[in-house]
Amino acid sequence: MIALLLLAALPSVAFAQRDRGGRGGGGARAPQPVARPAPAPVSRPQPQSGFNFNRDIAPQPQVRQQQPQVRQQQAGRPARVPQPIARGFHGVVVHNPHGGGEAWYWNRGVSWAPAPIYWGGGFWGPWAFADLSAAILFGSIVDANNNVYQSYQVEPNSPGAQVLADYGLQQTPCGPPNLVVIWGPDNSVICAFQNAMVAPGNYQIDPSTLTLVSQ
Amino acid sequence: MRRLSFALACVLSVAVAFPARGAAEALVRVQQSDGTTQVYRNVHATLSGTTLWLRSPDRKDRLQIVSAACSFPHDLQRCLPYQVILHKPDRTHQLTITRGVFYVNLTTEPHHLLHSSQVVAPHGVMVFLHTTRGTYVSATGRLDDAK
Repeated sequence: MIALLLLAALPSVAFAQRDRGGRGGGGARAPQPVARPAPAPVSRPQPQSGFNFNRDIAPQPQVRQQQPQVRQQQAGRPARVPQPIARGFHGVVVHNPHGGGEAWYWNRGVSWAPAPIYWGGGFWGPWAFADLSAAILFGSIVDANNNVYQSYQVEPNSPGAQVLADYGLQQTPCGPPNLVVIWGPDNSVICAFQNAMVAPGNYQIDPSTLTLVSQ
Repeated sequence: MRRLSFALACVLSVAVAFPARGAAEALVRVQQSDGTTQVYRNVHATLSGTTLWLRSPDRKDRLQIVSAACSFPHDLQRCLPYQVILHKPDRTHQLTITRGVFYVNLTTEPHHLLHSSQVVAPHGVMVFLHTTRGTYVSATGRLDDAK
């Protein structure tokens, strides 16, 4: 008797859980349109079909014309692969005053790896190279080989924002002298005003501990 | 009557503790650059590490969303997709994306997206992708499995 009731009740309970989850805003109950809805889209339910991405899988001979500007600046670099540490500084370590010491303590113990198509691998925010117009340009750094590294405003709640908060640093556009220059994953860079804890100069982040290492 | 009440209580408690698997409750919306939109209901969503898999209603196609840079703002896991692969029964196609994000709620409580009234339900998933061909993909619903 119980087993039969159990089998009969499972699907309805699953739906009830979904409804309960939507409480307080109706979040996942209904699909939301994406950021740029096209005019009068034609909605076609596909009850029993496979995914249709015909336009995406069709050959496109002119694909190279859509290379974004920032990626062109890096054309001479090798293929972009996830690199938690980009520059290899070995100077003084400025310990994170809020750090727990253990690797990835700040990310619930889950290791963080850069996502290749985003500036800084996504460490400073979800700023995709192909759409950096959504990010706010925050100056740039020119190295000894005249390579230009654009900098962008750090997104609140990103891992990079946590670094700034932990060290009490305030981001400022790169360019002027005597700034704290912080190199993040994948040759990304941001700048901040110096404070009592961090002197001006070049630093690299160890993403596992959110620690700054000077040049 | 008491026996019936007890039986129902047992059923409800067991069902809440072990929700139905394989329910395929996600909904996927694919809007292509010409404005046409396909909506797929009963999509099976599985999270394996930082890779999200969406299986089509006919169970033949799978969309593999490879991501990294996963972090946990406000109790939601947020990952940034960088590679999307469409697995058809006979072929595999790589879809080039410009950007994307997905959120999963691995907790038992609903949580808001950052700076949004949008709520991700317990064990819920929310996906947004934009391809270089101008296709927008969104998916919302419930994870069928998380490994």
